[in-house]
Amino acid sequence: MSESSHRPPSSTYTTHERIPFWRDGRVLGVLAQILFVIVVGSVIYWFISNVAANLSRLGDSQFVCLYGTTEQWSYRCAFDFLSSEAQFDISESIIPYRTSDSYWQAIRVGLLNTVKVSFVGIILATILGTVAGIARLSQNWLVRNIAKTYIDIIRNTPLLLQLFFLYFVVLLLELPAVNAALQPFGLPVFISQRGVNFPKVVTLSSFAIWFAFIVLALIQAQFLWMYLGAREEKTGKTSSRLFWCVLSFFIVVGLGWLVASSTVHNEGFLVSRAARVREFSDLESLMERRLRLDNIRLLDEFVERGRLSAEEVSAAALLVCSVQGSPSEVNLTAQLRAAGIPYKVSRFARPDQAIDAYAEEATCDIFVAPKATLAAERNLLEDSANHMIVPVRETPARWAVPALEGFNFVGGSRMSLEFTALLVGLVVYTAAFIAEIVRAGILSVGKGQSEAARALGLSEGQRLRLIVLPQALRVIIPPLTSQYLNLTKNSSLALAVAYPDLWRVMSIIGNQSGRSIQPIILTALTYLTFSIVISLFLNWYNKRIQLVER
Amino acid sequence: MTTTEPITTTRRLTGEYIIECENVHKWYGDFHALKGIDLHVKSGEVIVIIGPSGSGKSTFIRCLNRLEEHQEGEIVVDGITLSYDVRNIAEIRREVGMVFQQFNLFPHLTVLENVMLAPIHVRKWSRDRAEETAMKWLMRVGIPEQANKYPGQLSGGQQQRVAIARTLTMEPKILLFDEPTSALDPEMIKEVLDVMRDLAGGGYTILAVTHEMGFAREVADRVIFMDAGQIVEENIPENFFSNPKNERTKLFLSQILHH
Repeated sequence: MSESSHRPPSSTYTTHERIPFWRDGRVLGVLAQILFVIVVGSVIYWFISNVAANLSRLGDSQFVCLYGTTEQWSYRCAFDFLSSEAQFDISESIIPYRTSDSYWQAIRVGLLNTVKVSFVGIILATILGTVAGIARLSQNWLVRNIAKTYIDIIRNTPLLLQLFFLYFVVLLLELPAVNAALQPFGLPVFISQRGVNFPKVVTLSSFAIWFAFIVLALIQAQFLWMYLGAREEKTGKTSSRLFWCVLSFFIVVGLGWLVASSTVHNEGFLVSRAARVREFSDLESLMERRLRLDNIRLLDEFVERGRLSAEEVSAAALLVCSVQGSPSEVNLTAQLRAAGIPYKVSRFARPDQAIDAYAEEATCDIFVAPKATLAAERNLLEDSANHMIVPVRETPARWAVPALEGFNFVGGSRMSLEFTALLVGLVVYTAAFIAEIVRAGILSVGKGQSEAARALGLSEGQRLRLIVLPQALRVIIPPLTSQYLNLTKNSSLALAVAYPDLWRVMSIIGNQSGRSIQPIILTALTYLTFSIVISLFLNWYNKRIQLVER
Repeated sequence: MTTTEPITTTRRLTGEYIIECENVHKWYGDFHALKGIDLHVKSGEVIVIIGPSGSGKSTFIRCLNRLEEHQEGEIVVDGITLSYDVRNIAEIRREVGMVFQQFNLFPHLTVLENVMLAPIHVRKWSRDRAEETAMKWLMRVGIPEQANKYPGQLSGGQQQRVAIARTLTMEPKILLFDEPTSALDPEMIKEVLDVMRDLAGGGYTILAVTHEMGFAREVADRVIFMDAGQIVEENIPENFFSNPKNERTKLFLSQILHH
């Protein structure tokens, strides 16, 4: 073929007409490159020389220090000061922290607080954003416009303003005192100026067995699913696969609960032999004797009729000593409530404090803890032979529901007001942006796709799951990534509501130690790491779902 | 059939007609798109619907599988009355396949996955059975070698043939074609029409909206001319093309045939 000898011209080809260089695209391109390098180079030079000049002015106090035995000035020990005592308090932490801990420990606390608020925030913002984005496309006028108003207001006001408003106006001013805590929808969630208290699950030692059963149940449900599927294929008849699998799952889980509760007996309480309590039900007779009742079940009726006063009941209540936050306490008190036995709990930080209190009979009737702890602690008592360990039935897991005692809630978990304000602020703000991304993603899937799916007989759920969502996601993921990064970085506005996140801890360290460069470098590196991790994950995900074109 | 007979929604006719439409009306806002369509289609009949754009041809066949809702009148497809009952709609859609002007293949799935999707999720077939049937139909439309490509890698004609295979793998009784060749380059129209000709003798009941008069003349049992939301004229192709009765039909035919 004659075409094969025809090659693209090399870049040095000559034209018949000479182009003046100021109109020659090739020359202009090279000139633009050179100009750009000069601009970038001078900015970098200015930046470095500025930092160097400032550093040399601040000198020894900032980035250099006396290093080793030679007492040389060096930057090698620039971060050593972080090992010294922090000496400031941090209001909340998920790891143990005391003021005598090092700056490093304080940084870890701040880091984990940032991770906590970002992680929970990303999950909640995704949910709220998706709902709002779909609502924005709703056929329903009211739903559509509520979503639109929310998105417009939030997107067009600064986050810092929203945080201030939320924290100072909504939460601090409007929330009731702790003894008048709000209880939304009658749920066991209590919102007050002390924060948000909500139930949590505590697990006892038998949980391990129950957990094994849960895993077993999952495996058998999976096998049943496959078996029924194979049978459906063979017989060509449909069976309610989902129903049978879910049913069998719950049967096995329920069985596991019974097995775990009946085989493990690690829980108990310590009681004096003089109380004549040999098993749990004897506590009922103990109370019946104290209250001079025939049956403890009549207690409510007696109080109602005025034959017993609330003071009398309170005075006779069973005094329970426990270690603060122990599952043993939750396990026992739930059974006391079920049996109708009035009780009061005294909580101690450590078992040995509890046993001391138990030794003075006035404080505790019983001391509740795992049997092994009780056996060890009993030896500390002078008259250990006079005290016996009574077993208590235990279940694998129980709800610890917050209850008001004195001026605080005990039991359950608590979110501080600062955390709540920051979390709500970040979620509401970021979700507004995510909503727009979700809306754009869904709209990017053409109407024809849905029509084809419907015409093929796919149900509405299948249409969304198999056709619309997979295509919308590939449009949604890249901008969603940057919203996740934004949320994480915006969490540094915690400073405004006094939530001890990484940046707040770092700025305290900077103030207190007089060294500002190190905290800034560490903070920058940390946020950079967050960003890279989130980007890598979402890039990987994005690559998996990308569309193949020609 | 007398039209004075009261229309009951529970009636299930046993067979003479597979599609029955009586006095079907549809409005888009104030615009009256369908003005009382009456049409009865026998099982295995091939019907070509022609007409100027905006005459309601597409709207009408889209009413037959409820992609559009009709507001008055009655549509009975394969003995099932179309109404707001979602179970009826699902049942009808299983038996009625549709091929679109814009193909509407799912771009995130391969050709084979496109074809296998509905049999697996709607008919609940096993993967093996779905794949076997899918490959059979891809072979029939002449592109088995493209099975593992994505729709974006295929030409328009190939995409439309995949769309036809996707519809046929569901083993429908009725096929609706909504201008299947209008978005194709001229040299690709033939390959799609060949497939459609092949299907026309295969026992399917076919309703095709198309501008391919050659196709209509060749394979249609009946040609229907629609204008302004009404059926203006219907006849067997020979008479329809050689001896149109209605003035509007004559005008339309003269415009497209001498064009």
